[in-house]
Amino acid sequence: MRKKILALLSVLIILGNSMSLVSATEADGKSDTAYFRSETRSRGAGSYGVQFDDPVGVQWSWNPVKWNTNTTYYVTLTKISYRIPGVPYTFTTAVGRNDLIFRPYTSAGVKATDYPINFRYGITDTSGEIRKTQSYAGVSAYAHKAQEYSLKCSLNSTSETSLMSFDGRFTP
Amino acid sequence: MRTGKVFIGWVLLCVFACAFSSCKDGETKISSVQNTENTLDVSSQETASATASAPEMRPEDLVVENLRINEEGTNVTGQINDIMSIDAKLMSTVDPMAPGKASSYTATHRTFSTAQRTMFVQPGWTLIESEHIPASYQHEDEYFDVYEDSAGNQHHCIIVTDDAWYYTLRGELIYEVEVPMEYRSQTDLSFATEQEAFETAKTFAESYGYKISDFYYVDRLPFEELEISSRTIDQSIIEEALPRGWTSDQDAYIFQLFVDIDGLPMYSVGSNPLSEDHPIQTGTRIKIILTAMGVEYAHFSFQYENTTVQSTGEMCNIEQALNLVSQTIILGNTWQTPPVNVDIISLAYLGQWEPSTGAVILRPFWVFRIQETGPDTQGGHMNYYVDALSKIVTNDQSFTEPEEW
Repeated sequence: MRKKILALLSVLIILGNSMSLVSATEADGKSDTAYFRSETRSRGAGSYGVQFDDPVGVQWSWNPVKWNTNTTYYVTLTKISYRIPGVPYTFTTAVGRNDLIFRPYTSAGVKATDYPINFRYGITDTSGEIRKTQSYAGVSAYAHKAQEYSLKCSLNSTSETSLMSFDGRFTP
Repeated sequence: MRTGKVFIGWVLLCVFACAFSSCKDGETKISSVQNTENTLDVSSQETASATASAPEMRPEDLVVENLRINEEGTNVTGQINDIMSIDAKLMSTVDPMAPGKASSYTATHRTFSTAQRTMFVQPGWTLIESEHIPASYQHEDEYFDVYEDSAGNQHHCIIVTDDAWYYTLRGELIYEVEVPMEYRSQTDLSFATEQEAFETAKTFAESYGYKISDFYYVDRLPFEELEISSRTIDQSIIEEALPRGWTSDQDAYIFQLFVDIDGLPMYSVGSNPLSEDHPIQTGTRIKIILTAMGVEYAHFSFQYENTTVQSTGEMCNIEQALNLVSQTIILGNTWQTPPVNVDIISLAYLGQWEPSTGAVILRPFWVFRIQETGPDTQGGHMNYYVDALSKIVTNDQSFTEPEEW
């Protein structure tokens, strides 16, 4: 009986791992995707660059490169929390009434698109993530193949909470 | 039999415990959302919090205590009152307590251009494929060329406005495969020592006119780990690049090289501006992958020319820079709430760029990555920059504009 239970548990664990691998691969494609952690934005402070994880774990980050010819980009949030002054940080599954806005910029520092992503009222799905896709359309000349991108983010002055902290990834 | 029942009992208990735990977790999350939605008087809470969190402290109260740098010069520890702990990876190519003199420079941005289209091409290569994207908006003419050598190997040479790439299909594949940190080798690969490999990579980069610092970062990727990590990517890509499969020929060193300016490396710490006049922080970035076959991937990003000395002076040391940063956190305008920890410190040249004029300035900075460590925080981090010559302190959000929505 014990062996059966152990076998069943093993199968479930292996299946679980395989499924998460597959979904990550399908969602993200090649290594154009870059990851960020513990990013925090304060309400109304303006937009500044997301710092991507670096495989070597050093201070700067290599910006993701757009290799494909897709005309869309997407940002996925994998962990969200907010802070109301005087109250400890609280994990949440919803961005709530917060204008958490992301926009890619080219390496030349210009907007890569006129269409930013706003996560206001976004709610995590069953995998605990929120993904929003947006278009480069209309200014496609800004978004070039092989171009490096930075991702800037702000929590607008219209936001309800004073600070938001989040993890996630960006695929140009 | 009895043991079996006890075991099953434990398993069931664990399952219930897990289920209860996730259920409780779910409730917490829901209640958190409701709390957010029901917050009515944020401004009054803000006022109360600001009053409570602003200690009566003067700049002269902030003293760096027990500042210690290890023998290798790679780690620094210390404390500033009870507001800032320092336990940081240190990257400095000079004595951090006496960094000496440095200069600030002006320069001019230079795009990678048609003239550099063949910079990587070797004698005997034949152009077999090419895609040209004509200049538009801020982009120069861009070229995506594929060459073939006499042995039938393909070489990709890409020139776009601010970047240049060279790679073989093998090199591109190695670049694409992400080997988790714990599976990267801690020892040298068999085809070359790390130092030999660095010298080869450095010589390669310098052949294109860059002066390369002896400070570098390296990752060692054994082919066995590359093979395992490559299983999740499209197998047709692997078959095309490696018809005979993964072999020790794909053992790879990946280098991040830095341009040397006055003995300091040039970094790029994100794109946040460091001054009003130059809206983009930038720098030359170089990545090279080396295998037993030679350089199989090279990426150069951002170049400049006409470098001219603007001024020369003594750089502040790490202790002075830490004091300036702690004053900013306690007395200045930042969202970070003490206590905080400094976890990375570097002394490097950073570039600043004004794209409309092409003006570039290069100045030495102490850069501190600082994380909140209080129990009510999520470990949010921010970079603080101390201009080592002017001693002006800025941070990532010093010169930001609101995002238009």
